Amino acid sequence: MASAQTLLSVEAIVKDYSMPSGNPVRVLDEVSFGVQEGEFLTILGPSGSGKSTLLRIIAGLVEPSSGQVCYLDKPLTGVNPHVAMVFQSFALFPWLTVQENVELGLKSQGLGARERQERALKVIDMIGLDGFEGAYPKELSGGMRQRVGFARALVVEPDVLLMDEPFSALDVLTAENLRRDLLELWLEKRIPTKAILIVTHSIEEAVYMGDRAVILSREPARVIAQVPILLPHWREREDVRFVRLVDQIYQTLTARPAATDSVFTRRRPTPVPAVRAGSLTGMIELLDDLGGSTDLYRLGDELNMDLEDLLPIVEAVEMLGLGRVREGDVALTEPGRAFAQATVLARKELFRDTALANVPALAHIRHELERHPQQRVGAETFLGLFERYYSPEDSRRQMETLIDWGRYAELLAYDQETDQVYLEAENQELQSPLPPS
Amino acid sequence: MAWLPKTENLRLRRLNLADLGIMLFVISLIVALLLAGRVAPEDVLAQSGPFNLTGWSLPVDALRSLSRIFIAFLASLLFTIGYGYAAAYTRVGDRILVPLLDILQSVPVLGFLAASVGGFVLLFGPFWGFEAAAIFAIFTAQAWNMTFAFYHTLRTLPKDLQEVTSVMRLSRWQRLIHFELPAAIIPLVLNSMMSFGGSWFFLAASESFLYQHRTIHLPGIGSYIAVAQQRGNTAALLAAMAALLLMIVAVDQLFWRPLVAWSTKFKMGQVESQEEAPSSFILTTLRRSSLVQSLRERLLMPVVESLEVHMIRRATTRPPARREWRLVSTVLSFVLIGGTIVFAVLGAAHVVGSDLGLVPKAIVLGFYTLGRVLAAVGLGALWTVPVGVWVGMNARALKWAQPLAQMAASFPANVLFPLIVVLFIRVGLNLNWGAIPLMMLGTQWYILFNVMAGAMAIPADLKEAGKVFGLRGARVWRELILPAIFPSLITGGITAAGGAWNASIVAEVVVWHGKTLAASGLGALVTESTASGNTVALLVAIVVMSGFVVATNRLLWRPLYRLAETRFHVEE
Repeated sequence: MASAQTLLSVEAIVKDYSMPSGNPVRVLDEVSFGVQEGEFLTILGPSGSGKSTLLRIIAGLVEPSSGQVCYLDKPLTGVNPHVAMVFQSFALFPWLTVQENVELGLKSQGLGARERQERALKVIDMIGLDGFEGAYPKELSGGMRQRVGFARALVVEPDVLLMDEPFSALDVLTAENLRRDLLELWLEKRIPTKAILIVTHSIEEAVYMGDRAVILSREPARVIAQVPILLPHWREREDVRFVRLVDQIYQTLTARPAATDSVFTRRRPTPVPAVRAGSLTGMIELLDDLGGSTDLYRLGDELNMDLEDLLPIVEAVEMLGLGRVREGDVALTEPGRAFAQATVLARKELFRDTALANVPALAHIRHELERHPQQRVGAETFLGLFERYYSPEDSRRQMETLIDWGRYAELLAYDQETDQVYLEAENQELQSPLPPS
Repeated sequence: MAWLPKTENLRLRRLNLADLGIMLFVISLIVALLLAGRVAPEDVLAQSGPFNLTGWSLPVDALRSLSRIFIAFLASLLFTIGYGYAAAYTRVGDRILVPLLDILQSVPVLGFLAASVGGFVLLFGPFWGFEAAAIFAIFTAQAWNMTFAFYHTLRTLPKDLQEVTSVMRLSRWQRLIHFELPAAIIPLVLNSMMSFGGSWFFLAASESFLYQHRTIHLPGIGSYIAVAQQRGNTAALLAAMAALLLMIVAVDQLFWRPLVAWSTKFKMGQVESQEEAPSSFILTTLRRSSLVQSLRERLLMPVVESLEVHMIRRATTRPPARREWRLVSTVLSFVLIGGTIVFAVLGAAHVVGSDLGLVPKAIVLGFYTLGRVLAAVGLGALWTVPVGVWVGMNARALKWAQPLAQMAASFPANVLFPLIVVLFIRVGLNLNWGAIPLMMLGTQWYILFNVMAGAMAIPADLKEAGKVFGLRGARVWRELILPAIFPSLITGGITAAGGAWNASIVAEVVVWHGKTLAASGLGALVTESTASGNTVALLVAIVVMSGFVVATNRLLWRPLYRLAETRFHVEE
């Protein structure tokens, strides 16, 4: 579809959020791509990569800090009139019936009651909701609810259909069923929609449905690759080409930041992934059981975990120097293997050493505590350091993770009531031989 | 497509039994209103002498009072939507309207009555003026918490639904009727119920009051009670109390129960709750009635529809006049602020000019009343905490105790005051102390409700853990129950204290059979200065009382509340 017209173009979109400290944090950095007429485009990225924000900028719900979105080469302002949107949470009005929910989108167009009803019933029929017109969303299963979400978006016959992780709140079978139905409507051109844009964190979903995948990096999100998916429909997940493509995208997503990255002077500390010490030790044990090394994609499959849930754990393992990721494979390092085979107490010792060596923020906190006369410092002191670069929620989350790691390693203790971090008296240090679960 | 309504079906729909019942009800309502209205043209002031306590006047008076409450409720609802919307969406909202509402809610309700009578009489003449003042007093008892509830809903609308309405490009009007109002139905119904229950209390006081040395009795059950009290007519008083109770039960069954059942439709969240949904015979009847259905389809829906079309056309033909609107709101806020300052200065000058000694005197009296308020809340908690905990943790007791407590809370305690005062006189108890149990009578229920709710919410696993660890006796209370109910206890205490300040105005001066008993306190000062027409004293008293309420809220309740929220919060 190289000759097709560019329907929608995203041009150098930048989005900054300002932090309480005044420092702006960049969520989207110079994101550009185009959507051709007749294209099914997927936007793929890890969680927190700002892909939902990007979709909302395209919809005109959020204003970019700079850059613009053009429709047929005309820059858009305000809410985009050419799109409809499907939400992860379905976003149905609980007090309206299926039909009323679907008709609501037509109301702003000022259509008469009869025409609204006709168009709504047609779409309800098409999407497979026949018989449920008078039902309330509460009476429907998750899959049926999302069908209402689709019907509501399609009834206004948008040029571009935007979807924000539409299948991720559904169980595996229901999601698969709905994907097929949507793809069928699209491939058989039973809907007048000219392009579909879907945001997802599931690589398989992207490879199964899309014509092209735009891959975003994390913090800030930049386009790191655009992968054309040229397999003919209907695609088989067992197909070698399918598996190879999924693997390739996995590698792209998990690749270390390229050397050019250092040009982009990022002074902020590496974010601490929100992973509990318990999950960390579990992952290392599992890797050891698997022979110390495994393919990431297969690991996700085995654990039945999304990329979104798996990546932070792998990142944490890597950050602590217990494992290493290379070309889609994750392998235990020497300390990692030692950790897996150590006793409970020895593990704590190992963890303490590696954490102090590899996590500067934790070392900093420990250092400050040792220097302090009472060996007791309010958490907000350290929180302030994070808040220069991260949002308050993000900072809190990172601080919580550090406290969890610190507690596990017996590097520090924390008093929730006073919100203070402190050092335990030496003699108490060995009184808790049980690792946190 | 079997759903399409067939018009011939509509036409052929027969009237059913439900329709008959509804028609009968409407007719009887009209008759009742006509009967009640017949009294209206007579001179109100002339009635202040021989107020009729016999025969058919009681039901008629009761209906008049009820219609006053409903009119006030309607006004509260309109005010709520307008004010709440403006507070949530305009720039002046957060800075001026919300703090203003906070202050308004601290002014004692009967203070509004005392302060506004003169103005209303000036505006509307004596007949409608007194009516308007009474309705306004009831309105001030209802409106504030409803407005806060609506404002809060608007500020916490689910984000995804907001985005849906934006992507759909719904107009403001469409957003209001399809999204914002439906989302607010449940908090609005709950708060309306509370407001309505509170109105009964002020009804008795707002229909019958002293105004510039004249006794005003608006025809209504409140006046009926007041006159019965003055004449010491126990039989009439008991009859009136029975009528009141009947009315409270009837309104609850015929009005609130259907509304509550209907409101469950607007529950957010996608999961059907496991709890038994409240049901209402009346609502089911209305829903099944073909008369109501065709009224809905032929009258209500077309009206809503055409209104919507009209609004869209208006929105598209007239570009949004942002600049003008901003100008209007700026001018309006300047007028508001300016007016407030002018009146404050005028009032202060007035006070300074007449008697400056009033202010310290009112403050001293305020401390007396504060002592009574705190004592009433503390004593109330003393019995409601154990009873509330027991009932809350006992499913069977809860079933009968909850509606009973609700009735008790709705019943205006001030009607009972004279009967209790007779007792006080007999045992020789001074009203200075006696006012405390009188205040308790109306306000302890709030504590009871909240404690009950708090005890119900204690997670089962905590209770089990308590058992496993062998918590017994006093330790169960200290380590499990008290921490768990602490937040609800504080909430109940705040509400009860607010109610007690309001109650002080009627509890510190009680009339029975020509005898007047008074305590020294700020509430008595409000009542007495209204009676004697001393505007300056009245002004000082109301301002000082509002100041006391605001100060105790900030200095006592808020810190306690914050403590409850952080330290004793039980996660779901």
